[in-house]
Amino acid sequence: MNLFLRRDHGAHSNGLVRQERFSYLLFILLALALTPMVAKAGKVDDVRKTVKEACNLDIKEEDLMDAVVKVYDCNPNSKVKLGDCAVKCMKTTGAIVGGGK
Amino acid sequence: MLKLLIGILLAGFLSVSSFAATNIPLTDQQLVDKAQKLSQRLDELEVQKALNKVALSGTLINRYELLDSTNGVPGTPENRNSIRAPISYLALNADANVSKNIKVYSTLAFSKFWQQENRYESYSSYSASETGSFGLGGSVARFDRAYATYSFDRLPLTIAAGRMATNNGEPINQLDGLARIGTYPRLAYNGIFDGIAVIYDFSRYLKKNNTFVLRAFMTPYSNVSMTNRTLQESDVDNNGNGVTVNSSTPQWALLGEYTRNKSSWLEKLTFDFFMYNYYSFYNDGNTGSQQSSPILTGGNVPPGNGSYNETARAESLYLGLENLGYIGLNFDVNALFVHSSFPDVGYVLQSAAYLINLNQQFESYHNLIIGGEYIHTDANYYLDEYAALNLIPFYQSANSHGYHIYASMPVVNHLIVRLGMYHLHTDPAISIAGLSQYVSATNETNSQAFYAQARIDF
Repeated sequence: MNLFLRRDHGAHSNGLVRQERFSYLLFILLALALTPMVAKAGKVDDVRKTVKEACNLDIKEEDLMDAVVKVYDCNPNSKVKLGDCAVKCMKTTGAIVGGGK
Repeated sequence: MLKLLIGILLAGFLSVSSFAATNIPLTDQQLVDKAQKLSQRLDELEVQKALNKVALSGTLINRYELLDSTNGVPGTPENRNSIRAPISYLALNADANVSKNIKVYSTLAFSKFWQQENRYESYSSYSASETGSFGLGGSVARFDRAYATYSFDRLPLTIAAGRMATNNGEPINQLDGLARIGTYPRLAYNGIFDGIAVIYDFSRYLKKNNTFVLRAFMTPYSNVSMTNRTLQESDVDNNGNGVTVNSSTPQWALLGEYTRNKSSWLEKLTFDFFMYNYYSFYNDGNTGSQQSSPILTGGNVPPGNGSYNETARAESLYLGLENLGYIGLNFDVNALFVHSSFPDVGYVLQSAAYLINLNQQFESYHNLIIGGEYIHTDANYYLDEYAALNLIPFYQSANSHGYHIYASMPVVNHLIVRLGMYHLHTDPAISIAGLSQYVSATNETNSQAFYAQARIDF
């Protein structure tokens, strides 16, 4: 938000040129796309780390949301396939007192 | 959440194309206003997400089991039983992230034979408590789990209290190709315990791919009058004299779990050491009426009709090897050693048993699992096997040996179907007069069961 305000403060009084306007809109869209990621940062990081540890793979950014949904919306205790990598479903139901390994 | 996000993104794209088409300039202020509105909407979503603390999940199992058994003293006519019984089981979990450190877990469940209600097969109040909803009692639901955990910020330490998930331990999960679904090893206790637990995860001190977790449990037995909460439980001894029972008798357990992941020859190695101790545990007998169950003093009470005090300790060892050779082969063995003493009657018993499980998972064929279990128990064997749905007493029969062959497969996502066959042979054994837990092995018994079950996790 501060960026917008700062940019606005220094803008020409007749408004922004079209290219700049598109830059702003793209920035807004990017911010919107990233905001849920930030909100889910814990889960995203957990999935990324789990896949890295399990299969030594880095999930592509475009596949990340899909992977998070799959790994958390799954049969508790089952294995979830993300491409060629199988990881444990991360939906927990307290089946192991104090958390399981 | 996802739909909203898509909606917002679509709105954004539409506005871009709209601007491009109409070429209407937006002022800086308009852009700021738009961004602020979107930000507010996102804040709203964040708030909704933060307030939605409860996660719901569950398990539904429908099972059909055909159990045939013959029972009798060798050389005499046998009693035959043939059970053809469909059953249903439903468990609903409601788990809440109360705060960053506090979580609450709960499970409400029932199990029943179809078109049969109000069954009661627990012979005493403690076993009813350990059984929870697994007694095939009817459609009335019970809480099988209701506990909270507190996790410390700076230490890998967790404290839990309440009705805990101590049943359904390893290797039950292997039958359906699931990861672990219970805390205590199966061949230690398969029952639901209330109590306090302290869990410390030592994994941070170990090398990568190694974990070690220590879990300590205090699960005392309560003996408060069944009709008056201000009174101790009371009973009469064999001489007819009234006696009172301690309102609480101690029991504690310790579970050490070591795992090693991703070695050169297997995906996961698990070694668990479990031990429990209880002191002067008052078993209220087999009559269902505590007031009329005498405490044994001389062993003169008819078998199955007496109550008694028992002190015991047990050790359970579990070794699990998952994905051996990375070909989907799983193997585990679980052994139980129990030492019990019954001071009122002067008995001291020791028992041993082991359960072996071997299965192969075929990933290339829809994760089909084909496997088998073998169990061997000695004459004094005893297991609290209360939280189970199978009809055949495969896991709790003394002086027995048997096998279980099974095949399971996730037919579609969230639905696992399993077919299996049990065979169990129980040899005659010396009955211990008055100890209701140990009266089932006087005859020779042969049991065989076929079953099919569908399990939906959601």
